[in-house]
Amino acid sequence: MKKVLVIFSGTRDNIEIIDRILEIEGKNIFLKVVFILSDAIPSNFSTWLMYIGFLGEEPTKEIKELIIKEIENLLFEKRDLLEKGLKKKKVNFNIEFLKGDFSFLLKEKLREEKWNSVYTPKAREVVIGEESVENFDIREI
Amino acid sequence: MSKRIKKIVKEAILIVGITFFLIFAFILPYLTDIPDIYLRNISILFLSATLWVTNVIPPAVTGILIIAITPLFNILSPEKTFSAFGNRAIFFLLSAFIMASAVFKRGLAKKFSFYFLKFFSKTPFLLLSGVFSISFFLSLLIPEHATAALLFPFLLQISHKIKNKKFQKFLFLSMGWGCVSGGIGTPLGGARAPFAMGLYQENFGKVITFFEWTKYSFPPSFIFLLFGILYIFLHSRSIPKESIEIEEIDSSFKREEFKVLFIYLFAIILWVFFSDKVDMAVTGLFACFLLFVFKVITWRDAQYYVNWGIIMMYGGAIVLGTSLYKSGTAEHISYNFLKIFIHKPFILLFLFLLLTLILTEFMSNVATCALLLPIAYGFSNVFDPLFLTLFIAIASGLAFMLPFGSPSVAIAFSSGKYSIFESVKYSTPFFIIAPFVLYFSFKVIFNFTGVNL
Repeated sequence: MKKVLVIFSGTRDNIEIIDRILEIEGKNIFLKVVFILSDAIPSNFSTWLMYIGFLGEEPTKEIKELIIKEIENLLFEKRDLLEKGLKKKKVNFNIEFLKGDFSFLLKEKLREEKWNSVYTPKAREVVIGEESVENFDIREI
Repeated sequence: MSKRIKKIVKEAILIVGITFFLIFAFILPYLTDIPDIYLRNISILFLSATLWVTNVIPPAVTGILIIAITPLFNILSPEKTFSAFGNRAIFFLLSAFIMASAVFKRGLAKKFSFYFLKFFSKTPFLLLSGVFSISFFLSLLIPEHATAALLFPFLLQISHKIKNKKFQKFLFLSMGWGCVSGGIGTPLGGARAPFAMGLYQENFGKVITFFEWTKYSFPPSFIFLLFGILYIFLHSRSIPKESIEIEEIDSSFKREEFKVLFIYLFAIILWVFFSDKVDMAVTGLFACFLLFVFKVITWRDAQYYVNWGIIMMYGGAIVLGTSLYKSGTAEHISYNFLKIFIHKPFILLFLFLLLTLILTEFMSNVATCALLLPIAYGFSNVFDPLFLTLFIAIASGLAFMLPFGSPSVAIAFSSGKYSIFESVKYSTPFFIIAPFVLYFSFKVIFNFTGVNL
């Protein structure tokens, strides 16, 4: 059985790409899907609002919290949809939801198992960041 | 644009900008007979434009740099440089921000928005035009980014009840467009109007009153409101009809909220009807005093709700503008680079407008105004300087499309309901009509340009 890791990273990830992965890999797989809510999205945005948009500290904090909650909700919705779809397709899967530094968590997941393939909708250079992870078969989809 | 390309573009702009700064400041003075003061001033212009466009350091820090470097380069004396902070506009700006913090803290605007939108929640068109209108009207009274920050949580709640994706997108787009349209309507909508008023006063020694500014800025603002509602109407025809239940909030008005309301009303009456007798900054400061005395807000609130960095940004911008105009650099740039258009004022004006509308989509409204207004003042013997002040300041507030230029559009974008591409696609009509609206307002309604176009 092939072990396949799929990483989703933000609000605009398209979970329909799972169908394409199943087309490529076949159904005899273990699919691990990880949703990572990156710290960087709300942090970068609130820094922008405060230092460039000149919004006060308190409103910026309130908006940042709202954005995190909103992204979380969107990712939960996607997770539920995906869970339903994969159960229907009778694929062996596991879904995990993580919050934190995207590169750090990604690397942790990569080292967790010996994955046959790793998929992510993010561009390869974004995923890899500054550290080389060439040992892994990372595919952009 | 991928992150990598963005990084490359940013670095390229930074390298080019700093190279120009070094060439103009330290090399050209030895190679040309152009007065040193012009070259050094242009070098600061390049440096500030580069830092404001790339945002490698916060714009307020760029402001500090400008304030420090202008006397260092002997363009203005330290006394003249720092005296820019004594301008009435800076105190008006401060008071507008402190007053907005009371509205924010006390949740008064949220209650108004609730009643307003509850009434308009029957169909998608009504709700969207309601969101556009409430954003518009609030931005006439408080800075547009404060309006967006106030309405954002409320709209997020509403959006969770909406199934149609386009409806969700337009809910936030309408808020952004409404804030931008209303933000240009009065001097309270953002920092660029007080900045432009201050720069005008510094350079021409004349005061623009609250009423005078609003007289010219409200008509284009109102045209955008009408256009926005029409535009929403056209788009909402393709949205399936659904009635949205707006969640009840604690709707009883509290004592503190009445205090905010009365103090605001008091300030508005003085600004609109007595601005020739009581200076608008005095009115604003007095209103702030009342907010503190009546314990509507505390000093701690003012610290947390107001971003004090705006003072440094404002200071830097006004020092840059004043040094460019007073040293004669602005006139030098205008006549040497744009003299071919001197007998074609319409084209000249159109070029300024286009440049302002494009620049303001990519950088802060105040920064756009700070870079272009002094250069436009170089043509103050062609156009009425008051017209140039209003024209550039209003145009620099019209950042409808991209989240980089306007914090209210950025807050709307942060909902995650639409992409940058969709933001540009849906907002392009606003960008296209902007020149016509401004031309119509100034030329047709007021016949006010100072020149026969």
